[in-house]
Amino acid sequence: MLHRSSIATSALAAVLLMTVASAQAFDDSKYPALNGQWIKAHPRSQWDPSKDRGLKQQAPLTPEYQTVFEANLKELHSGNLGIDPQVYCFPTGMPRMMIAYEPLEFTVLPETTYIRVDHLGDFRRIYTDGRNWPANIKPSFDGYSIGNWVDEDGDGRYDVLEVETRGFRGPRTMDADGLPLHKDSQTVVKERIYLDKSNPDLLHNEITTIDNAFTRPWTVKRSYKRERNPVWPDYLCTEDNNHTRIGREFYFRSADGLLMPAYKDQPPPDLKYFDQPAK
Amino acid sequence: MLGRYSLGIISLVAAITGTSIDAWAHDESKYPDLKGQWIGVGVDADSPWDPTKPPGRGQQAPLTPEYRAIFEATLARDSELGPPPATCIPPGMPRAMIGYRPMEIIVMPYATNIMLGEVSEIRRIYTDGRKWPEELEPAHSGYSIGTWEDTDGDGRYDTLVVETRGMKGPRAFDSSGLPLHQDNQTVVKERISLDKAKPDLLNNEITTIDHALTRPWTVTRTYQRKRNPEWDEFVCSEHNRHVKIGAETYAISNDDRLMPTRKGQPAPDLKYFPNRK
Repeated sequence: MLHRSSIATSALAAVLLMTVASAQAFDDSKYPALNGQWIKAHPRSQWDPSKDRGLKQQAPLTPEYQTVFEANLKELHSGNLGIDPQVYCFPTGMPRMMIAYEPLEFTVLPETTYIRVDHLGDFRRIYTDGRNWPANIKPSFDGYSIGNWVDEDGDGRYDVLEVETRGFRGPRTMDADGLPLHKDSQTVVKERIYLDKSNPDLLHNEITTIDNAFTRPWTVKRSYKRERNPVWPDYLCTEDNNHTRIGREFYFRSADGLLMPAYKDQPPPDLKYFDQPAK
Repeated sequence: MLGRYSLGIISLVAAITGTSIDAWAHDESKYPDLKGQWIGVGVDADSPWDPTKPPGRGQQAPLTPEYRAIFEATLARDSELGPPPATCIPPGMPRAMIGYRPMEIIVMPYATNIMLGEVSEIRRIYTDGRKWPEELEPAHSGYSIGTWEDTDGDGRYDTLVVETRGMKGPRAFDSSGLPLHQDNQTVVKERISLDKAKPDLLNNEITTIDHALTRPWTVTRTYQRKRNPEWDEFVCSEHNRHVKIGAETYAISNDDRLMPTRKGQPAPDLKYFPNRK
């Protein structure tokens, strides 16, 4: 039986503990261990990793955007890579950045989870501070994300990060084959991000894309492997890019730095502003 | 005098909190609050490296005679031809810490990441006690190792002491072209701390050691915090109206055609186009 002194001790200890807990802001033991480098777990980079690329993705495109996709594929096959915004060093944007062409870095803090890709500078802030959606969102390639941590198995620790992302601008495609998103950029992306139950070095992301180019929401599952000894490459698209865009035309740059055609019979750029001929 | 009950309470709380603290890997209260958006005070595209002195020769940079001659040649060329066109290559260290665009500083116990808005560069400052790698892959932002210090002994860290090596070039201190040595053996040391009187002001005492300089050169740069910011997206390649072809840099006109960037610049060689006129 507890004596009065023991009861008083316990009560006071509880109060003090609560005070101490509030002074220490971040109990990262409550969160899954996501910090660090993650590399795509799939050998290929098409959007739905469970299917072959191109038309075999069986993307639920509207008839209008199916036509756009087929035209994009034809352009690509002719050698014109210019339909892929990555080629001229635009950010990959969402949802495509979650293909993880280069390693992802996750950083979890209580108010925000950051996801960065060292590839074209894609950088996401997923706000988990309970905020509401802003009345106006400045459109961006990576969108504006609000997340919510969920303890699905009731063990007192969060295990799933649910995210919704809105507020996009383009141009964006789903993958390098030019699988299109609607030009109205009204995309909504929903994600469920969680560690594999049996392998803590495997991360899953169930990504649902809702877009007016599609006849229905399209869900794919992408996975990432943890790299325990990360090396962060200094990758800079604008430094190493052998593609050049002039207006709407896209060209290659040869080994000697000169312009080359990107497809057969491509006309050279217009030089009307030059008085002096080439050296 | 503390009675037996009080001692019992203290012992119990210590036992409970001791266990709880061990479970917390990241005690944010130990670190300065660096959350928010940091904007270089008074910074624009032409800001000089030392903000206390005029640009160009007014910087009185401690350059070696060789690199002073290189700087003078750059100033003369730019005076005649205009400054070189902007590119989407990162400014690199230490120039990135001018803070041309808003920065975000993310503090974790193993690293502090500085998100630089210019060309979406990131600096990772490793604070996990690691030693310098035997070989460093050169990077625009270099490789940084940092240590937190509690300089006033109040039990909280207040200064991040950083050393950065392994940069790649070419780099300049600022837009005037004030040069760093082409050997890229620069070492940059920083002491980053919140202003004692103004917690929304961040000071960075930056010392550059470089073979273009006769001695270490220390400047202090300051950043103003903006809490609850809106983050603007800046895509350099979207705004860049210049293209490099061969050894020449050209501009793209408003009607999307190539145009010269200086008087008398020759047109690009189009030898690879069989249908050129």
